[in-house]
Amino acid sequence: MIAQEQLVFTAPGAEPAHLGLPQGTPVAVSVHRLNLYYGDVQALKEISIDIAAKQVTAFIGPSGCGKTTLLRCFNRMNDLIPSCRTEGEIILGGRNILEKKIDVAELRREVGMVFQKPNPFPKTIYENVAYGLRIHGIKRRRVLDESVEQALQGAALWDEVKDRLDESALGLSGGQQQRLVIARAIAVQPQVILLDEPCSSLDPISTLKVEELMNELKQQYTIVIVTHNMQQAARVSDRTAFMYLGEMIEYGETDQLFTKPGKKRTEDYITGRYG
Amino acid sequence: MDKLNISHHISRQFNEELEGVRSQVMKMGGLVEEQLSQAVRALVEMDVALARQVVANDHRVNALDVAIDEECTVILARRQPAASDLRLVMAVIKTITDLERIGDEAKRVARMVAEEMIGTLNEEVRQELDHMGGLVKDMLRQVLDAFARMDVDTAVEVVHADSKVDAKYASITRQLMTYMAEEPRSIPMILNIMWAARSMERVGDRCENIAEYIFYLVYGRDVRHTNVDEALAEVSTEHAKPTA
Repeated sequence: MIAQEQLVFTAPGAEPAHLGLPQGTPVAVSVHRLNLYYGDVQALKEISIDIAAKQVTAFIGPSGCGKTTLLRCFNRMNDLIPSCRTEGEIILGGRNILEKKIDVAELRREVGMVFQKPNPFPKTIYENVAYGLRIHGIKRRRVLDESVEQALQGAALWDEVKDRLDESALGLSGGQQQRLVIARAIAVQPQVILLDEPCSSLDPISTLKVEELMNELKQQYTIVIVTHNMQQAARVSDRTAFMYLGEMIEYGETDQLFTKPGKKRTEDYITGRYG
Repeated sequence: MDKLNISHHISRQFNEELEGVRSQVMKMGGLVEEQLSQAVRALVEMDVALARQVVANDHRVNALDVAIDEECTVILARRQPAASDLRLVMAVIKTITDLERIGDEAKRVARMVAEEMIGTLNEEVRQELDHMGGLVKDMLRQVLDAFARMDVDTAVEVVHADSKVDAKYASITRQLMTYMAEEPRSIPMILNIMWAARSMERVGDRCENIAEYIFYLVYGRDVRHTNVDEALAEVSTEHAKPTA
């Protein structure tokens, strides 16, 4: 096991440490000194963290700690909030995605997102998955058919829906809808999939199916998940980041963080103590 | 002392459950201490009645072992403890197994005490056994104390103390072998004494195990099969204890 200290590369000066990865781990997203403000309120403070490629990274922390805000930075969802302002950089695919010139639609193809409540379109199951492909100009039926099947297979939903692709997606159960949304996200072959509390409205069995799916998906995609459910973070993630009041408190291997956290604040949070 | 802040959970019920388990371990430890102490006394004084009492009381230790194990299982199922809470439950599960075995060793020592043995123990051997019994009783008392206070320094002392017990066991064995050579007719009796000494030596090993669990509980570092002094030096510089 690699000691915690080796993972933290202290940047020069008094700025907070950059939370890196063990040497040799491919990095999918690299955040450097990210500050984010909603009007006058600073929601993220000097966040520096590397997200490992093709692993599951979980962000945990109490409500309002900034974990969802950070996640939403990865595909510029915060652009939709007028008062939101960012400083610093997020490097993804060799460029700073916070720059103005970035094509946000293209970014969101690379970085898919799945929300708390399943949000299928009021269309057929097939059209839900084909939607993103059509937007990107794919029209040939054979290509669409193939991609839809692949995405539904990838989201472990194909067997359940293959005979009713032309039925409304709204007729699916919550768990199926969530997997459909995941299929829609992977249909356009993103690099990163962001999951914002993907199981909070699902029953335990559907939750386990989505968790199992994450394990499958990480073979191909980088997955970042925000969850309030610490057991879920412990179950699904390879690495966990604990945030508190807009700061990154601790980041490390999930095995380590849940048995031997390095910081008292992390310990207090994951064991349900008041700090 | 509450070094691990057991009583600081938002769920008061969880506080009570962990506190309950910990005090049950202390209760079991007290009982095992008494069993060991009486077994050693029964041996060195060849007190057959006391020895029978030790054998008869062993079931109380076993019952506590089962009860605490059950409580830990319930905590794991209901609370899914993490970090120091998880380490506490794991350390408790392992500690009670070793305590139960110490109880068994005490019973074994007591079983060696029999009517026909009276008078066979010469003064020299009696003193040696008394001394060895004292060493392992001290180890047990110390390790239970360390557990109660989550005191790693004391736990490390216990690990060191075991080598004294091992040395004592070796010297008793040599002594008994000399007697066997001198008096082949008393070999069956001497073998009984040898078994009793062997059991006491095992108690020392069990105490060492518990001391290692305490290290794990406090620092999150498994020091079994490693050099405990090096580990202690490392964690002291590493600040492995959760910091603010």
